[in-house]
Amino acid sequence: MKISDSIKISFRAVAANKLRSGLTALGVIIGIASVIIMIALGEGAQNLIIGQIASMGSTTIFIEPGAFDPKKGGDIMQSAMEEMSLKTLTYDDALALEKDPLVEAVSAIVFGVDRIVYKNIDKKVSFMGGMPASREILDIHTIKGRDITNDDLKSNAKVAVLGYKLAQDLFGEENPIGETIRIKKTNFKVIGVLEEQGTQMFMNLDENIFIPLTTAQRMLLGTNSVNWILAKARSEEAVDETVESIRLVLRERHHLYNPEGDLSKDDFKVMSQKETARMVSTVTSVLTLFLALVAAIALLVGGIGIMNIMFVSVTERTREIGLRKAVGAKSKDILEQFLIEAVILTVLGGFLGIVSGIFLSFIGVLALQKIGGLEDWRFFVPYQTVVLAFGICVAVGLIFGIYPARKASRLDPIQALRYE
Amino acid sequence: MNLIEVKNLKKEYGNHEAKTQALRGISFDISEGEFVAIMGPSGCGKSTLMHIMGFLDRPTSGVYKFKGKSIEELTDDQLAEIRNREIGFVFQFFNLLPRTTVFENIRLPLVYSKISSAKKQRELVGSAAKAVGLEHRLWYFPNQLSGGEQARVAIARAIVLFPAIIFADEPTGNLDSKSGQRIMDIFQKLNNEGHTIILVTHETYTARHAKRIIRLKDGLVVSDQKVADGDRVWAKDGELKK
Repeated sequence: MKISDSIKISFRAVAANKLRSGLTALGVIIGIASVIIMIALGEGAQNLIIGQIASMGSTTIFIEPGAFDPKKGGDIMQSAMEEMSLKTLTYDDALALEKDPLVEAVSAIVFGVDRIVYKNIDKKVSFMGGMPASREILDIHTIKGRDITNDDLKSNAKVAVLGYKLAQDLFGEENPIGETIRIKKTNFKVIGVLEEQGTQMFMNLDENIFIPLTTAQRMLLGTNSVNWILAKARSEEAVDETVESIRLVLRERHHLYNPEGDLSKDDFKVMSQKETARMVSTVTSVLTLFLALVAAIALLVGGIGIMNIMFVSVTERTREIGLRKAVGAKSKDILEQFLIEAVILTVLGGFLGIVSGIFLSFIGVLALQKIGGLEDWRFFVPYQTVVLAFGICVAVGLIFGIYPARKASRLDPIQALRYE
Repeated sequence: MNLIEVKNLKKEYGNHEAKTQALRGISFDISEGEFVAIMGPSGCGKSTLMHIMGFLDRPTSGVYKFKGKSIEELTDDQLAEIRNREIGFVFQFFNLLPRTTVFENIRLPLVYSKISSAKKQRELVGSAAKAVGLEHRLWYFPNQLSGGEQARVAIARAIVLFPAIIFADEPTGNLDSKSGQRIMDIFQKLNNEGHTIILVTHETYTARHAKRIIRLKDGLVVSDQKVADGDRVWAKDGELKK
């Protein structure tokens, strides 16, 4: 029997019951559409996060307070929140690292949110206290005025550099240089404006205000600790060596006896951009896997629907099966016919599922961009996903079609011909 | 040469407790070109006999040889091949595929044959349709046809691969006498052209077209007679005589 004949016969059977076939395929349509949406959104989120991390540059090294906890593993979002309250890193740590010959640049950083006032404008703004080297590490430069210097740091100067958008919001067309703004009841002199930057490390730097680290610590936060220390290795090849060197310096300064290099015994974490990206990938992969599991359950339900309707189809067409056998169909011909019918149902469902999945994830990404404000979220459906979805459909058809098809192929021709 | 050899053929149904003997030891031979009617009241075993001779079923015991080959030696797939190549069935209710054109219905055995060329298939379907006078109905659907035309589609499907034997199970059972006569004329013509035909019927007038009548009762052959040409109805201007 020619395969084209099998396909033709099966198509005719599927087309003969359009509504029923459509409803049956709906399970698969929903299953496949959810697979596509899950993966598209998962990949989009991962690309967004990795893109943000990559924006830091490949030689950037993060030092965060708190030990590496293998139990929490990749849960960096949660630990990032906890780290904000840890006080194990200080400005002096950063100064010590500056002396490490492997380290090209270092900047301790503190974050905060507070009200700023200029004339009649009063708004809540994130501020970042840093060292001059943070410009080099973050690769941001002033377009107006001057940047924060080491002298500002030493003298706790009350000076501020504004993010591009913040400067526009406060001053419009006026020149902000030399103007005075108030942050938490303290007057700061605006000395510079940064170039337009967009988001980096999940912070919109354009709406940030930058002040000397020491000023931020004493005047605004009342603390000696820092939230992060950013360092820069001399080259991409030297990153791993630099990370190790930083650990040794910090252990010595913090009086930690840790000759085995057990990261959970430290009170800080040192991560290169590469490692951070890898950790994020692990998190999102686990998430994607979980979502895929949900989709798999949807497909299982869809598959059972297919099996059910195939049994109905076999019973309905018992006489047809008997006739086909009487005119020479072998058991394997009947098996093939019903298997192909099941696969046509699932592949048809899969095709519609892929189309609607791509369409819905596109709508979803549009919503995230326009309503959610995540302009950097890109629409992305990996072609492997489409191939995979198609493969899954064929597999579901075969797995859930084989039992009804076997039942059909084993019918006794005489019994089948007499079936009413 | 004997096309069919049946010797002491038995068929039992059911288990040990409730056993029914459909055939209790039947023997006869059928040669090529014969037109045989198998007659008997319902339950006499004639359908069972047709199923075994048509390779749809196997006997419980006894010998059934087709072209010298015993059915015991054949696998189920080989039986399917023989049904495809050597046997043509015309069932009582014709068993046409609904929502499927006359052309596709006639083509059905070709789907399972070794003839895969579409051109060759069209030729075969065309000539089978012509043999039953349905060449103008090829693109109709079964529900658009009269009962007589449906019977003719079933016959065309049976002869499309030039089988060695055509089995017909009460082919006129559901037709009015005029259509029934037309169908019997077609069988007559096919027999004249050399087809071997085995007709299962309980209607005497259809059986009279045959050259030989085998009567069954309770799973046994009660008579096996040749019919003289003069007694055959078709000779009398095609008028049915009851």
